Amino acid sequence: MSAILKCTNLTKQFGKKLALSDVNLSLERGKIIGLLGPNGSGKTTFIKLLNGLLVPTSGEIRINGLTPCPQTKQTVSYLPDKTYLNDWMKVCDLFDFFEDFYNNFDRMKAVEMLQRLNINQNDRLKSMSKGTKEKVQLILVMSRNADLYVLDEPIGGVDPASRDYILNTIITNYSEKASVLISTHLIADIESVLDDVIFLKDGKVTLTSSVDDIRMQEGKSVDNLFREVFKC
Amino acid sequence: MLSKLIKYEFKSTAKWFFPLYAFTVVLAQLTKMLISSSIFEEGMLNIIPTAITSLYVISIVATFIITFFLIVYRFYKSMVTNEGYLTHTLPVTTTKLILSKLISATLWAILASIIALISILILYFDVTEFQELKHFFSSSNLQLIAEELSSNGFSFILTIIEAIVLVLITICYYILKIYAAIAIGQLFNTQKLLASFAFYFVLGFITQVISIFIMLVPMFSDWISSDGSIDFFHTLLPTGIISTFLLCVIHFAITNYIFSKKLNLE
Repeated sequence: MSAILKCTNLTKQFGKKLALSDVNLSLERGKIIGLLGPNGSGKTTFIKLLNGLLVPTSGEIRINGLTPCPQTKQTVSYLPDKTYLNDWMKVCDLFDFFEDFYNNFDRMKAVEMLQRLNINQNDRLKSMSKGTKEKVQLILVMSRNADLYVLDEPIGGVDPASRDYILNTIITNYSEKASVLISTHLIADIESVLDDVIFLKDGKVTLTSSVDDIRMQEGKSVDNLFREVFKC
Repeated sequence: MLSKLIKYEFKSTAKWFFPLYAFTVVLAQLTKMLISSSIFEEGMLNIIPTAITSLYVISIVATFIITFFLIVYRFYKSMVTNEGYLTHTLPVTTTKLILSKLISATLWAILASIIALISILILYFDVTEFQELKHFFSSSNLQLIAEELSSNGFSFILTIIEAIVLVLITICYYILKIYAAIAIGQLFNTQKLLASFAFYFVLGFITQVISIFIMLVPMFSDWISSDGSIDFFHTLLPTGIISTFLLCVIHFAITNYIFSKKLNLE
């Protein structure tokens, strides 16, 4: 099967700043990939390019062979690292909204996940704590049967028990056709679910490898390798 | 997809507009009751009907201003702030996004005008005056107007249609001017809102300058007949419609280009 995501010489420049420089990447289907790097390394830029929220300065990025367009947006499920939903909406309103626009939104799955986390469908986002809001956002994203899930810091503001639940949801929810790209700093927590990792530094890819290879060849965990490679 | 977008536009904005318009109409009714009642005719209390009437006039103006502001707010919030992460990752083209917002905003603007009109009617017309108005618009009078117009080469129906189209296109133009200003403001890294505000006036200024130049053209061209005045009037509405439509297209194109190619959410 072909790669779900392919970048060729992907470059993004903001004025004088080179946020991404000549990135060549391929993401395989059915994998959970960690996008790791220090702040300012270009992770968010990469993710925005993937989602069509930014346009490349040069080079290409393709999802299922297409450059970002409404069709790719249908197949990519994105969780930004901020609250991006309309605060006044109730959870059931959001379900209606997602169901309306995305042809792959599984409402039953979403309702079930909501119940498991003890969140009421009729609550407004405005009335929720930050952690609960993040859970709702995650449920919406994972309830879509997408080809590529892009999660930007999915477990950041969440308690440890919920973190386990979220990670579990991520593993059990994707199919062989789909991949999950996770961008995070909390490497130790996420490492156990990752298949592959990409290290990004100053807009360039410094490492692409499977987690197993790192453990075998380097003899250390990804977290430790990261601390070594990106030592300040 | 476009109809879905429009539906959600209305859902998101109805909760602001309906209360606003209901308030305006209620205030009109209240004002009318107060000024026609005789309780307040004595001395000091006289100030109350005057105060209420002033409040009423302010509310009519405020209805338009607040409508304008809400149109700006809705567009800015959903396209430029954090909500933009939701808006711009929907599986729709930028063109449809802008179009859905334009349609929704235009309808609210039209509703605002109708509400203002209703509110004025509530206040100033009682039944006898309404009869007079009906008489004025009676078929015989309209017939006279139509005859007068056609003797000058105007079709009554066509003129009315053209006038309505011109009003609609002009409303669209003002809304698209807001959108284009917000789009241009979005290009700046800091003070986006301020930049948008500034560019709203810059765009208006540029448009004015260009349209003055364009208006000078017919004055010097040969396609005015010897009986110059009537031809000017014949072409007034259609040229108005065409030129405003062109302005709409330009502002739409600017907005569309910036939001599809130059988007940079924080």
